[in-house]
Amino acid sequence: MSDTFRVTLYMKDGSGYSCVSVEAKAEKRAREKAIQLITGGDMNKLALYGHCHVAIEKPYVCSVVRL
Amino acid sequence: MSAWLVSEKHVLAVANEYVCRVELGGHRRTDSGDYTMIMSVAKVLWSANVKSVNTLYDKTHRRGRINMRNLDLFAGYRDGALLKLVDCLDYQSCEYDGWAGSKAKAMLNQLEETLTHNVCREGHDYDVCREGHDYNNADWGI
Repeated sequence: MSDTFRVTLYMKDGSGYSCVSVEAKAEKRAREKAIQLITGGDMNKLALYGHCHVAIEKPYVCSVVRL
Repeated sequence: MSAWLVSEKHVLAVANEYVCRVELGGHRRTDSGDYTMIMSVAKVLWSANVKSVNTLYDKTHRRGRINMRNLDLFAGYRDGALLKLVDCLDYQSCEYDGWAGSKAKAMLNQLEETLTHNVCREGHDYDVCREGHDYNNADWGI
């Protein structure tokens, strides 16, 4: 088992779901990159993910896999 | 990016803190004169927010009437949480030309400066310490 983490985020939008999956050596870094990617840096969307590490509400799903 | 209209509760919370901390220098009173000032500030802030959303989405929303009964004087927001409300209102209001030089932006800047000074200790990097525990655990909008 390596120390690489894969974080996957889904975001519901008008046409379905957007999905990003990011791998990084540190879980925190992977989360940050994934959140940045899926929100495009929009603070209003970022706020939805503000507590991703604690809980994420439907229809948002956040999965973390240690590779 | 995106923008939305903040709630009346949100704008009143920010207006109240602006009047208390900036206009009155931290000395809170609760007489009718204060309410007039809070109402006046709230109108300026909310109008800018409406203008921003209308500009971004090509809409014709009008600012709602402000009911001072929705001002919670005893909400007890911590400085970090208030800072986040200010940041949010700034973010929702910045979509029109002239925002940078507007009265609303100047008000938010003054309040932001006061709150940041309270949250950060001297010598700390403001960009880092302003977003501490209270900020990160607070709501973006109320």
